[in-house]
Amino acid sequence: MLKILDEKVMKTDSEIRKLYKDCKYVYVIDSYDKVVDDEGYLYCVSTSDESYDALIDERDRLEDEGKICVLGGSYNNGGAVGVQYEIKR
Amino acid sequence: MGGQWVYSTKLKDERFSVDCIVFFGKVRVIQFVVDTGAMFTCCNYKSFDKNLRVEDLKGCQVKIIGGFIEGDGVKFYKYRLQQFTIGNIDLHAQDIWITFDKRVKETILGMDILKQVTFVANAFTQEIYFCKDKDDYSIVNSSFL
Repeated sequence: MLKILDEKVMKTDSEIRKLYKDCKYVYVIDSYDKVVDDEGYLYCVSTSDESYDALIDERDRLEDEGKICVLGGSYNNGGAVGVQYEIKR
Repeated sequence: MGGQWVYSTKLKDERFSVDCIVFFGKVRVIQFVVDTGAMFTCCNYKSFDKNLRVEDLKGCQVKIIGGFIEGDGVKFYKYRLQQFTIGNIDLHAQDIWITFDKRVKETILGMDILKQVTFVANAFTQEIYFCKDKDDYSIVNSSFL
């Protein structure tokens, strides 16, 4: 499910992660210089990978409006990523 | 931390993740999980550009990479980014690996890129520090003493 929040109060990325565990989300920042601050205005949260496409659509729509978005978070705390290995064909 | 080019981020959910600015014609800010056990930096194509098609990557190098989906390899395409910045540390042009496989939604910063930058984790602050050069590393290192 995609939740549109459009928050007006800034939150840190750590705060967002605590509130929305195992979710991907988009937050808006004022400028690219603010990337290092690790905080922004939470716009929307995708609670499962079924709403991933909708999350991307919202991110793209906001960017078309000239906003700077950060695509963050993770489903299942990193998505059960194992140790990578290359399969030679 | 006083270094001009030092970028740091806190441990979250027992992982380090970093905000990276990528440029490939468009500019995007995408959060990557720092994974020193990963050989390759990889992600789903939609994180970058949902309009990208497999045909657009015709002729690009392909790898089948395991470790994402249990028992299954996933096809990745080499994708050139014109600029890749970890926080405020510009690593210029970089190659990453993107997949069209819907099962992969995570964005992983692997050793192919990580090996180009100095990074230090501090157990006391629970932060990871990325340094642009040896001067910045000296600043980080001295702050640990």
